[in-house]
Amino acid sequence: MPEIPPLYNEMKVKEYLAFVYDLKKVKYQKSAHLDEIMSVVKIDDVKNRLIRNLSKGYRQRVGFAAALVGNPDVIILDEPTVGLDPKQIIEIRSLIEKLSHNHTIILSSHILSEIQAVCENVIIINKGKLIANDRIEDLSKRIATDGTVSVTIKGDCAGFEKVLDDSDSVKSYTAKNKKDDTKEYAITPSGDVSISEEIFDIAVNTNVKILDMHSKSISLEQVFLMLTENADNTEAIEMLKDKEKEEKENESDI
Amino acid sequence: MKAIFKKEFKSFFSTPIGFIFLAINAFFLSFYFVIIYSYGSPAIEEVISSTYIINTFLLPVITMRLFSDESRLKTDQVLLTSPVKISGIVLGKFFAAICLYALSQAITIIFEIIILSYVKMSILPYLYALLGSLLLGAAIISIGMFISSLTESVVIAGVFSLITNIIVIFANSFASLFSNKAVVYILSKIAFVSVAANFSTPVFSIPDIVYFLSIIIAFLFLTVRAVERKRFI
Repeated sequence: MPEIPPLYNEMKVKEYLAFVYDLKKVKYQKSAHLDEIMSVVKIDDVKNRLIRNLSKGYRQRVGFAAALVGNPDVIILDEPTVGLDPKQIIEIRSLIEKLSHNHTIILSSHILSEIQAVCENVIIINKGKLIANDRIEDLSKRIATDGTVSVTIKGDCAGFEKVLDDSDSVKSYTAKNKKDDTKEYAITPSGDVSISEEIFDIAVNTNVKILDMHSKSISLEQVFLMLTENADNTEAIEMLKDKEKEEKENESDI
Repeated sequence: MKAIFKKEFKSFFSTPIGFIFLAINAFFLSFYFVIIYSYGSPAIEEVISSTYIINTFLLPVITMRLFSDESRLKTDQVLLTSPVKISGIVLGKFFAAICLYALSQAITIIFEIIILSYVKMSILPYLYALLGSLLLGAAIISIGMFISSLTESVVIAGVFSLITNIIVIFANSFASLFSNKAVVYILSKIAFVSVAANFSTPVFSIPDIVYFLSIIIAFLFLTVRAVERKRFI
């Protein structure tokens, strides 16, 4: 299904699907097949309306329905949620998930949170070159996280920093002044340990107030940026390649 | 091909264009029939050939959006990704337009029945004139369709089809400007509206039929090529 579904404005929804059915030379029983598709993508209620009068969300779903005619094994979707409101996006996503039980779905999108929510396997292509092809969890793991915690505090920053300097478990930290007397710190632990509890203790001891504390987990977005922006940064790419090689070897072992 | 034919033929009547086309044709055919009939002449061939000029102006309205609209609205993606061959797409659209044109000429069947009820005469001249009319229509449609497949703009397609059609009507008139016999001959043949006029004389002429068929086939072939081109750009 293309980004803008190719629909004939002057046709009714059912008419259009029947046309696609005829065009694809589908072998299934016509009305039953079309009714089934329309109930799957929930366009029963608009089946006798002209496509020109439908909203963007409905048009997208009619495009979906057209792609489903003939029950193909593989469905390719190009930006299926572009231009939809949040409710419609959720509906389309749940639809994609529902369809993924019976079809292989290839989804292309710029909205990475969407991919994170829907997809199992991710392929990142940068300037025509495949730079990653992996499951989402594995992809985030590849870019090793160092357990950096971001903390925003209010109060006696100098005292807080002094304790941080002395602490063994803190490897390094950076500070950023925010408005009033608050500061934001990015604190990296020295070992492979969680540092949040210690930071809390330090804050209590130095009598500063924690306004916000969260660990910097790596999202698909950051993975994407790291992989594409540093395309010259061959280290990351080579790291991935090495890992891929390993995997291939593992596979061939099996 | 059948699916495209059905869809295309329906789409003529989803806008007023199809009805207006039929109405204008019906009006002029009836108008000329009344005039000719009032003179007591049973020459229905004259009635049919009377709408040639009108149709060369009207048919571009039918053909201009056949392909240009599809590529503008990107709906050609549905067609090009379907298992239907490109020749099937082109022929489907072509036959849909022909059918609309044939429908517009069908009113003359009533005239012929009226005439036959008064005068005992052969039906063959009528059928021959009808064939000529259909061949002319098919030729104009295939040219218009080819022009439509070259551009994404409906207006450009319409204007260029119209210009082409004006040339094929009036090329004959320019012939007097030249003294070279070959040029005059070519110009008179380019003016295929005047060639079509031969069909209203009851002299069966195979060259005329072949002439029109070759125009139709040539432009259908070019249209297939023009649509196929989209796969490579």
